[in-house]
Amino acid sequence: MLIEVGHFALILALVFSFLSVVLPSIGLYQNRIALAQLTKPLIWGQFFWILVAVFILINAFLANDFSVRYVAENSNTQLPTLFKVSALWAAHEGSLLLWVFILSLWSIAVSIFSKQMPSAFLNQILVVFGFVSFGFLLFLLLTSNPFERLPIPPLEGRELNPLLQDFGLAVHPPMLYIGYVGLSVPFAFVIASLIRGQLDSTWLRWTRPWTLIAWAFLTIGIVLGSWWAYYELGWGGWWFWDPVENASFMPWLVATALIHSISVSEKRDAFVQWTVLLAIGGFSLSLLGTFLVRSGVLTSVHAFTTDPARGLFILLFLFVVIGGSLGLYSWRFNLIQRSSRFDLFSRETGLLINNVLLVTAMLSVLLGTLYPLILDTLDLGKISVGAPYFNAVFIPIMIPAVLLLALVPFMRWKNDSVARVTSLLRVEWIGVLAFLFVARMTIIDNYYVLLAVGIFFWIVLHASSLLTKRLRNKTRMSFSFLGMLLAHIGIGVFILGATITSQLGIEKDLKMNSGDSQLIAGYNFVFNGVSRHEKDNYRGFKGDLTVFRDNKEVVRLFPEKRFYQTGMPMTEAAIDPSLTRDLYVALGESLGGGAWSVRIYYKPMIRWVWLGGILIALGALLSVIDRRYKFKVDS
Amino acid sequence: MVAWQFILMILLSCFLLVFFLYRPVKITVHDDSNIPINPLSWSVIIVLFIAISSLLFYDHLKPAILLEKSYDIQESVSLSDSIISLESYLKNNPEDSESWKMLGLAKFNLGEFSSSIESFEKAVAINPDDVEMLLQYASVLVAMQDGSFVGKPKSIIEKILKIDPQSIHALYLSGIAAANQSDIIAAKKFWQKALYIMPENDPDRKVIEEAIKMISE
Repeated sequence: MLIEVGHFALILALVFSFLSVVLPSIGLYQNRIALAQLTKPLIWGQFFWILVAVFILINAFLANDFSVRYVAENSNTQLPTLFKVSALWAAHEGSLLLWVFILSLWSIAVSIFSKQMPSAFLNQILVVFGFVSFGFLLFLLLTSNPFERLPIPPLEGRELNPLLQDFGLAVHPPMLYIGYVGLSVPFAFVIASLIRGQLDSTWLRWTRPWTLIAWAFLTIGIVLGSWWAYYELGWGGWWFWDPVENASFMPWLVATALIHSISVSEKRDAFVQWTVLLAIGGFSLSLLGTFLVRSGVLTSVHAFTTDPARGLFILLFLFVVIGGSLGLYSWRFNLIQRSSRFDLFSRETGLLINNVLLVTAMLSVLLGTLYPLILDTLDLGKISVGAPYFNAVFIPIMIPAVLLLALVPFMRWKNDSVARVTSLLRVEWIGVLAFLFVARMTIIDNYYVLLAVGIFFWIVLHASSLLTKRLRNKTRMSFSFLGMLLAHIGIGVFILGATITSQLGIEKDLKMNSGDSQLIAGYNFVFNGVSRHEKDNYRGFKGDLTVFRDNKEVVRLFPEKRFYQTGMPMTEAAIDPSLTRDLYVALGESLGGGAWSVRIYYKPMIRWVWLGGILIALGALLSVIDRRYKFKVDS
Repeated sequence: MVAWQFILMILLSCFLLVFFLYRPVKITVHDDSNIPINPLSWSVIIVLFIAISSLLFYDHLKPAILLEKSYDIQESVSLSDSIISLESYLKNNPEDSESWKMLGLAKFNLGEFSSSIESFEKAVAINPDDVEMLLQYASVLVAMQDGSFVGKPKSIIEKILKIDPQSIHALYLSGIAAANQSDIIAAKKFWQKALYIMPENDPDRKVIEEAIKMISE
């Protein structure tokens, strides 16, 4: 009966979301405050019923209730408890439940932390949340009910996808969803402003911490996904330009532009159109990502036509959200027109170029992601768009953007001169050029690495210079300023790690017998053989390698080949991590006669890729606690 | 019949909103002139809307089942429709235990647990030694008790084993019931017997082997 209670709780949440759109709207338009003020109890009620549904589904997993189809298909009695909980978001239905749960959490957070906002405006924002929530709850209940019962429960459930039986992937989806769904806050704000016909720059500032939190979580989600792919897939890669990865990267690019654009809008009352369009675009790309991942079109465009209900529903919802938002934008166009002027050389121009470059980069990723799908849908043939396209198109667009990010903080608002900025930064520029010249003459002969090192020093030197100038002038340093520096340095750290690991990394595919050894980048890998190994949820083989450097043992590595209950083989790489390099070993197949195929990777500075991501996220979170975002406005 | 849990949930929802409707209005400088509402009429509207829409929607979302061909209905129909046709069929054929079983399963899926049990009891009364039916009856009871075998499910499984001591499904369930009561020796005995009887290529062997392994640890 608990399962039916969970199902009914979701229906009540749907009814609450419907009422949270209708009742406050009547209240707002007819000035019936008693009705408008129902938004808060309505979103709290909605949150409560979704929470009940989530707990009941988790309980069904923990209690091995295989009479529930979703539990039977994604869990079994042997699954460790952590993965029983994370199995909640292992497949489509549960992921959608997590989506609506996080959406309701965001709306609750907005209602709690926006008490200083005019109540009518806050209610309007919560109405937009109610609308989005209604769409997703309807989608969940009509096409993806996680509480469906099986008439005759099986003796044992199926297995959770072995790829998902991993800590990294257990936490990756919630982080990513917090980021995805968090972009609904600036979206709701912008739509509420357009509906009410008031777009106040002061309150535009209100959206920035929310966007920063969403952006930070999106960054953490993407970093966790990349880290997981690195150690779990056994190929040593950290980014594959896979459509699912791109689906999360596109909103990230737009959100990056958005946080910069909001900053200009709130300080200079400029770029308001950009801010509005980026807020709509960021959330629309989140929905598009959900559509791409959840409709089945990525596996095959034909998967969409075999089960069209889900894909069509999201497509329709996407159409309503994007079409409705853009319609509202054009209707209220006059409202968001601003007459702020700035010179060609000014901070505004720098940030405008930043916006243009980031949106162009996003469009290049969108094209590469959707183009094969469109061709396949129209039966015009199958093509594969992979890393060569993305690297060739994306990287050149981003190079000017990263060079600019170090410079723009030195530029003045409204108007500035090249001569002033040049005289201010000439020492830093000469320093970077001199460093590059010496580095090229002495140790670095790879031009890509030289470029990455140059960009890294460019960013770090400019950031240090900015910090020194503030310290020297005894100017107050806000958390927002420190956060910006940290995030910009994070970008430099990421670029350095990504370039060095891809340019200087070494990969060897070997056939090894017990006692064989291989010298890679000064490390001697000695293969000691393979033994059998098993745990609760898998059986398999465990390799044993000792790594020496200068005849001293550095580490022993135990790569595994696991076979889960479905018989699916999984490679569990053994990694010796450090900030300067990773030693990475993956066990392949048995080649007979005691020989095994073994892949050994030397990955210089790969940790910097994720370290950069962590710094970016920390920078964003540091900015959030800035005093500027603590509103003290009379209500 | 609507389950009491649903009524309680609806009442809780209505109470929350009605409470806030009667709360004094907070008027701020940003709000325009307020037009008061009649809380009673709005409460009635909201309560009726929540109760009717949630129950109707739940009814609409009930799962569909495929009826057996003997009823000359070859396509998937809604559970409500199938219950109506089964009930009318059973008025003229009250001795058809299979149909009582189908009715029990359909009602179980609708959440009508007490009448589901009644249907199963009628089916069992007509055909007390039908092992498959008893197994389904026990499974429904276990699902209703959220996975617990205590009480009637256990006695039904014991009865099945008296009728057919080689029922693999019953041996497996008996093993779970014993394991739930921490009777590891009995659980292993049931499962080992099930393994002994099962064909070598039975895919469920692995499940039972894993269960024995787990309990041995």
